[in-house]
Amino acid sequence: MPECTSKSTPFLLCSSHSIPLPPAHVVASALSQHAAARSPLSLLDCHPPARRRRFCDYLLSSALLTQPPVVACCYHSAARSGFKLGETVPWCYGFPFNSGLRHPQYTGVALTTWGLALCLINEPSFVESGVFHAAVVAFPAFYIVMSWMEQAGDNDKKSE
Amino acid sequence: MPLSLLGSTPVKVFAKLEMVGKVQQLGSIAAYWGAATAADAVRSALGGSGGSAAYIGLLFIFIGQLLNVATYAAIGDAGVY
Repeated sequence: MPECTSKSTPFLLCSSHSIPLPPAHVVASALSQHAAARSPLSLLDCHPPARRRRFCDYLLSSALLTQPPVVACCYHSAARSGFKLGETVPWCYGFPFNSGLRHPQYTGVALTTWGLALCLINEPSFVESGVFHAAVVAFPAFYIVMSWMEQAGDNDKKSE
Repeated sequence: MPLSLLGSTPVKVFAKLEMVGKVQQLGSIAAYWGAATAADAVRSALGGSGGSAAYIGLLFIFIGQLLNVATYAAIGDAGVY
């Protein structure tokens, strides 16, 4: 791998396919102009929408990229498998485990998501953007799948 | 390990890292929807635009968070994560 020899242009990576970065004062100037023109909240609300969605893609992909190292790091006793790998978890019979719900927390998350969707159902941007559909169908579906996966290896079968 | 700075046990570290994941999730939704648009919609909903559906929604949120908090209080980090 070649060394970074350029003194004038900083490089993101020291390799044969290095990506030149703009000078720091150009970045700082652009950021300060952007910040001056917009409130902090609207920094996320850049236009056109394609740019906003690229930022969204970045966040989602960074979440996917950071998850495997987290699981690899913590798998010995965590990563939603603590009880299967020796962590002591109290066996609870009180509320909410006496409510008849197999997965009370996931049920709670789904109810919260549906509640938010109901509160925002009359907002056109909420429905037109597709966030409504994600809140009503996609997010609860993730938890249904997760419940099924956890139930598939449930340790209460051993105590029956 | 730098991650050990976040907590004394893997479960505690994982719980902290989950917060990062939640920020990423909510940030993704805000970026997709548009933070200013989302803020306007929430303000409008708080102003009463949701109508009767909003009351049912608030009931759902209350029950949902009751279950969520009660589960966490009962089994803690080790049970949740």
